[in-house]
Amino acid sequence: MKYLIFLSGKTGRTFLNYMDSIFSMSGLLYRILKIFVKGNYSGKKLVWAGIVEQIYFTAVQALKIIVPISLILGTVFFLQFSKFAEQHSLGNIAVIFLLRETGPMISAIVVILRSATAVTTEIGYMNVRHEMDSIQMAGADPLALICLPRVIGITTAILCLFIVFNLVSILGGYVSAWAISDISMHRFLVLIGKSISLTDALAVSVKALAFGVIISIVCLYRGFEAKKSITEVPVKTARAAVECFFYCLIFNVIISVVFSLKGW
Amino acid sequence: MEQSKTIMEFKNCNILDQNISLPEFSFLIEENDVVEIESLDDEKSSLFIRGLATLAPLRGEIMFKGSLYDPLDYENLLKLKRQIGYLGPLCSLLSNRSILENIFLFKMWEENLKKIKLDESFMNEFKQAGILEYIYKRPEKTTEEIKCGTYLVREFLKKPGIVFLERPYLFTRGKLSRFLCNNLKDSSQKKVPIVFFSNTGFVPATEVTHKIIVENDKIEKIKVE
Repeated sequence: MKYLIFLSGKTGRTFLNYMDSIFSMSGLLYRILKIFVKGNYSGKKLVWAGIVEQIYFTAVQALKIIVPISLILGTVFFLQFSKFAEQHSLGNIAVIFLLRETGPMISAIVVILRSATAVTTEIGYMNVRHEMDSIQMAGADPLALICLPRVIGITTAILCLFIVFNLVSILGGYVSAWAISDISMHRFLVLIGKSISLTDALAVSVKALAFGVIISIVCLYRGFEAKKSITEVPVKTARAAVECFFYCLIFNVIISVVFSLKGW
Repeated sequence: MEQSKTIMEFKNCNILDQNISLPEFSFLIEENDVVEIESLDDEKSSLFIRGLATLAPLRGEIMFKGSLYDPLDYENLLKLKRQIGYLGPLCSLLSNRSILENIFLFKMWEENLKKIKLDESFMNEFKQAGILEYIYKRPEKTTEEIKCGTYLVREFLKKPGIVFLERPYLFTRGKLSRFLCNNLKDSSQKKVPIVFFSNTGFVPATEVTHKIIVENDKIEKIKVE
């Protein structure tokens, strides 16, 4: 009985803490969106510079990782699936599996490993060192100066990385298809092109938006949680990375289910 | 006799802290005031002056130059924070920006600038604070003295309506002592009130006019005769 009470208490507390962080993250997202929509802050040039900087760090610098990964995955995928799929169905499988499912998740994982951890560490470090207070004492809003560029930058960067991943993996796919079947580039692209529809682009864009917002908000929120000691930062960073991956996985499933239920 | 103008007024204010409790307080700070904070407990004095300067975690009513500010109104409070000069151990610089950008962050934000045009008067300020050669460097590439010089230049270039000094001896190394004194004198001439807490017998450039005594059950401002 004692253990049952302990267990139920612990479960309840964990659930409440979990819900508390979900609502707090939603609150943070709401405040950042409000700033974005209203746009009534003064330092727009600083914010814009922050967005460009974030896209550079998250997208451009990640290219050297995402390009080889997508090339290898594309090659392996087409090589394996071509064994039991006909040419016309290969295109459909490629679009559904590679472009709509694997591409977004792999890009999200790369962003989580590279940028999400960096953002959490940076925010945690700034918070512990009272840099956020300095920004406020200058009359600037940290939510506009620090958070907004990260949300917009990471979301845009993820969408760009999706596009790069898809293009390069198709190129990798062509290499393997050419090696086993002597298919021409034109024929291969027609095959893929016929399988891609507007809803695929929509699904990928929705995933980019969802993943970008999830990754940036979770990282900012966990970064802001580090308050007193620098030793809190690695703990929050690890937690943020795991949560980002978990939430992205869940949202990936939700978006895929919604699209397939709609018959898209 | 000329009536002094009220610069800042705290009404039924509370500073919330998990570890240290402070009583509710109400007082006003007028122009020309030089106020010293006194307490038997240095931690309480530190928390109190930080609460007044950074307005967090503060609850109550704050009037600044005739305008009412609610500590829960985040956006409005930023406008007030911009007008407050704070020098203390909690001062910090943004590590991903240069010394120059740190100094002029308020200006870059307010006037929507990407870069700052420097004129001779700024150069002179930097020279006096001993930071001229370091203005394009990141804070971590400089020394503690340069960082302190940067805090001083940053806070006084803001042209604050009130100056809070917590443990001023931190800002009196080498050349900085004279720089701080000159700026305090200058502020005093412009009738800008100064509120300070020091546990090392720091004497500001001008005479102390009032004291705020922080006790366990009350906080009150008294005139120094």
